[in-house]
Formats: sequence, structure tokens, C-alpha cells
Amino acid sequence: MISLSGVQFGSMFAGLGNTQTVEHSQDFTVVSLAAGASQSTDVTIPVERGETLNRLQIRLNGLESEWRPITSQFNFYNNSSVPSATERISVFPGMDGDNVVLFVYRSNLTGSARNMTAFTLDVKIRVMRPPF
Amino acid sequence: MPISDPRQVYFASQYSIDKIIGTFEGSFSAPGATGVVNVTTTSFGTSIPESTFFQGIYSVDNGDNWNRFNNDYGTDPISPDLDVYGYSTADVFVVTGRNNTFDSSSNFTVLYKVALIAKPDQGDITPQPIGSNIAFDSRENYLKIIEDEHTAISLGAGASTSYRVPHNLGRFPQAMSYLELSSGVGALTAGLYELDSVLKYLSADNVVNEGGAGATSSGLYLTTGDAVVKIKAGATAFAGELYVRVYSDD
Repeated sequence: MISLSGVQFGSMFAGLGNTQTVEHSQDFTVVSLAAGASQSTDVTIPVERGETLNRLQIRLNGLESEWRPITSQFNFYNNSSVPSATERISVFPGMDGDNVVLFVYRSNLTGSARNMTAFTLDVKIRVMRPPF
Repeated sequence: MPISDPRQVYFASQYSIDKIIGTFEGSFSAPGATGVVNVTTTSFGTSIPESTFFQGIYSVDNGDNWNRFNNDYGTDPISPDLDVYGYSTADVFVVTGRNNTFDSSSNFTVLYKVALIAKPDQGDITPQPIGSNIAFDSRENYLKIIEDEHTAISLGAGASTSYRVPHNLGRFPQAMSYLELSSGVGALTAGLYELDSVLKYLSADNVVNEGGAGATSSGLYLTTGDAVVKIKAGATAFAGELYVRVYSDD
């Protein structure tokens, strides 16, 4: 048994090495959607190895200034109050073989046709190398 | 002399790194049930008498494709067929599968792999096997920890909190966040979860995971100066220990 207090690095521990960094940007342009309609797009980003502990961050550039690390569903509403929001953007991360696949979903929440706001999806992926 | 830009080196002993203190793998069945989301759990002993950080992946096709915990599985991510996530407790790690098909003839055989990672307040432990004789490979970059903070949170129904960890890097770094629930709430039992798991599985009644423009959305946000976790409780109070780890690397 050992104490981890103050240990920066010890050869008895494996680290989580990082073998690849991938950055990707994709524009989502203005699109007109009918009342209540939605549009979905798969963003496929190849990485060197799918069986990893990837770390993923996204930003909706043009809508938010912050980056957000995600492992699960990401939601953005274009109003601070969900009931009055007019647009929803969701991003669902997943893997397909050696590809990171982001399912991007834009939905018009209003009762009439609407031009959906343009944005750029920025993505940063760290391909981590676990010991297994 | 301090390193002016830690991103330029793969490893520097003055910076702590994620320390893997054990890896585990196994499998379990996640069958469906008519008319309900069927929740199946499996667990394994860790021989570490404390909760830990972790990352996990899973496969439902015998290892051909692997997804990260919290990624949904299915052709329609909005209505996934299966959710898989994990949580850590003293001596035991639990993997959970939620079969959302509402179909008793549905069954997933879930393979999983989990790496346990030391948390900042980890006590005296015995590291477990990691599945490899190589602990460090100088060809690989190692994310360098520059902030490793945690705080107790206790939220009443409808209350919100914001936990800010300054990093002052002037750029957007890598970061991760965990929340250790001190007692069970909603669908979750006490344990240490990835923050996204808590936000996702308590979102119905217990935590506000949706909102807009950063105003009320719960989650981890990164600016050029801070890492900020925002959490707003829903109809149920909950409490726990919130962890934020920030790396010097982008």
C-alpha cells in the first residue's frame, strides 16, 4: 500500500498517454426549417484507433464562446429559458469503428417556419492510449 | 526554471498526470423488458477501499466497435437503444446498462473496459494490475495537470451553484469533471460519477441539464481563464463532492 499524496509520477502507475490530437471544424449554414421540423447531420472524424479513452470537446462557435468537454448528449437552446427558446441544437457523440461520429440535430421549436442560426461546430479530440 | 509552455513537452516531472491505478474488463447482458426501460448492473471488486476517477468504454458487437461510457448506442441517438455508464464506490465499481428498447426480445451483450484513475484526494491504496508491463512510453504525450480542485456542494430543490476553477492560461485547455453523490438521488445511487452521467440520468427531475446560452445549462464550461461547472438542481435536493481537473494541454 502506498500513499498517493504528493506523487506527481511514479513508475508503478501507468499514465494515460496521448498519441493523437485531432481538430475539426464544420460550418452549419442558415437553413429554413418548417414549424417543428428538424435537421440532422452526421459529422464523421477519423481517428487512429477507436478502442481508446478519447476525450472530446466541442464549441458552437458563433453561438457560445466556451468549449465544453462532453461524453454524452449536449444541448444548446438559443434562449436562457427553455419554454421561450426558438431553436435547439443537440450533439450526440459516438464511435463507429475508428471514426468519432457526432450526430448534430437542429430543431425549430416554434410554430412557424424559421431560418435557423448559422454556427461552426469546432471539435477537439484527444486520442488517449490506455494500457489495455 | 519553469517550463514556459508545457504543451511543448510530452512529460515533465513537475506536473502531475492522470495515474492509472488499475484496469478491469468484463461483460454482462442488458436485456430489454416490455414497456419499461430495463436497467441492468454488474460490478467488480477493485481492491481499492475508496472511490476513484475512471474512464470506460463498451462494445455491443463483440469488440468490433467501442464507445465511450455515456455515448448512446443505436441508430437514432435521440432515442438510443442502450445507455452504458459506470460509477465508482469504495472497493466496488458498478457498470450499468439501460436497455431502452421496451422490448423483451431485445438483448445486448455488453463488453466493457475500465481504467481507474487516481483522484486528487486519493488516500493510501494498493495499485492494481493494469494489463501491461509498460507504465510509461516517452513517445506519447501525457496531459499535464495544472489545477486539481474539488469542493462540497449541497443543492436544495431548484437551487443552483457555479464552481469556478481559474487556470489563467489564456487559452482553452483540456479538462474533466466528476461528481461524487453522497447519497442516492433519482435513478442514481451514491458513488462517484462522470459529471455527464449525473446530468444525463438526473435530468428528468433532479438536475437542470437544459437551458440556453450558458445561462442555466448544467455542465462544464471552459473559457480562456476558467473552468466552470454550473449545476442547477431540479425538484430534488442533492449533495456531493464536485471535482474539476484542468490540464495545461489544449
